[in-house]
Amino acid sequence: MGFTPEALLFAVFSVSSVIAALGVVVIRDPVKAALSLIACFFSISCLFVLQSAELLAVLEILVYAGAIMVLFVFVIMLVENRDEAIVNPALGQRLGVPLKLAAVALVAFALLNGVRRAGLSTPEDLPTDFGSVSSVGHEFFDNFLFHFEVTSVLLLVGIVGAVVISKRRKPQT
Amino acid sequence: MSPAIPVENYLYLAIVLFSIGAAGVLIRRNAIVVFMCIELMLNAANLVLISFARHHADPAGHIYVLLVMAVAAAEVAVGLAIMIAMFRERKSIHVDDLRDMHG
Repeated sequence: MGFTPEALLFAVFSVSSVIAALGVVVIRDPVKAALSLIACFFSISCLFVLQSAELLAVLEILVYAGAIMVLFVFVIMLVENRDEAIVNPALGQRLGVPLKLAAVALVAFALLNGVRRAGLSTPEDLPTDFGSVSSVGHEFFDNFLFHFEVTSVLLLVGIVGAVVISKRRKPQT
Repeated sequence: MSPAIPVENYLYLAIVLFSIGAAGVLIRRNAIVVFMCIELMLNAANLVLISFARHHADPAGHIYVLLVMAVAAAEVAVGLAIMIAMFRERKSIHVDDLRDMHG
């Protein structure tokens, strides 16, 4: 039974991403959970490369594994880090966990069934520069210019909002 | 060139990752870990968008992933600021301790 290199890479990175994702949920220490999430982002970015989305694979590492997770780790260090049980030990809360997992499993089953029955057509041939900086940039600035501008406003609002919310208030006189 | 991996496999993987993230959002108590699980769910959605962009050879999917990344960055900045403010007020970031609007 011959594996193509692409199938082998897909198997490796899909398994590693699922294991890392499970680590985020089951690891008690938030710092280790964050490291597991970074590993998951690396695997997902490798899957992006397999889909010839090179630019987004690089951005995934830069933005998610770099910027966003650094922010997470900073905040984990800022707030108190009690090492407690993952699930609330109160009886009512513990009984709810299987119910929640069952609800998630139901949604997942519905989605899987939907994909199985969708009957997707054969993929179309890619242009050679698909996913490169120039092709994504052309698409962005030719067809999505308004979205680009709105995104810049959103990021500005996010920055200002983050500063205002986390600012230490002066004691009221 | 035809791809060796059918698009369904990527969709199945994205569904699994999304479900793991959703389970984490529901059962974890630490608000920061809940937030990380939301990031995981966003990434599963990104994987679907990339898969369909590849499937239809349409770069518009890549643009949507870029927009999701920008929104996620803004969301994380504001959300973590809220958590710092919440910790300053309550000395706790456990979702169980926020019951003021519980009635």
